[in-house]
Amino acid sequence: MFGVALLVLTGAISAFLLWADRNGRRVHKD
Amino acid sequence: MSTLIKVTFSATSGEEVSGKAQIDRAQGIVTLPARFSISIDRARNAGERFEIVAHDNGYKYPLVHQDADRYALEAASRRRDGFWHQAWRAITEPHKDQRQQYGRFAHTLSAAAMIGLAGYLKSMPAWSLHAAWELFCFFLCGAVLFVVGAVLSKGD
Repeated sequence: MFGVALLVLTGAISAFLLWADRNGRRVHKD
Repeated sequence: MSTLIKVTFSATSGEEVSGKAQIDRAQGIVTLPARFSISIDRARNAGERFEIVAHDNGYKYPLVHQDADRYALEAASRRRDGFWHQAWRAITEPHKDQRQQYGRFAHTLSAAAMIGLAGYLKSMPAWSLHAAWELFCFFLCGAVLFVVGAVLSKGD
């Protein structure tokens, strides 16, 4: 259970960070 | 105090020009360089709406035309993005430096997962399928966060 929770949390954090990164690159083009 | 100020010209056509202009701070007069005048004339001739904004100390000042290429800072209309607006934009539209910081955050979490793995390994009483699964989860989290951090730290 702990392992699954760890993977879900990691997936959520990774997905959010990658989404923010792509959004930032698209908006600022810097 | 600098005698130059950042100025941005934006038109409804989508044209946007940024650069520095000379400012007389005592009188609040900004003298725009020629390339701004060209963009302004082009927007006027095409019937486009436009705005010219000066950026100083975190504030945005609308520029009001005086004569020729001289514009006055409209200090009464200055505005600044609030804390919550900046926080929202930092999360949804991060700049390059912010993206790199997020990459470092992911690498910190990756290191924490590896430390967690080592701590778990040393503190478990005996090997079992369950223990091996949780160790694998720690390792996978560390690896995934490392790759994500590497992508975010790309720097361009």
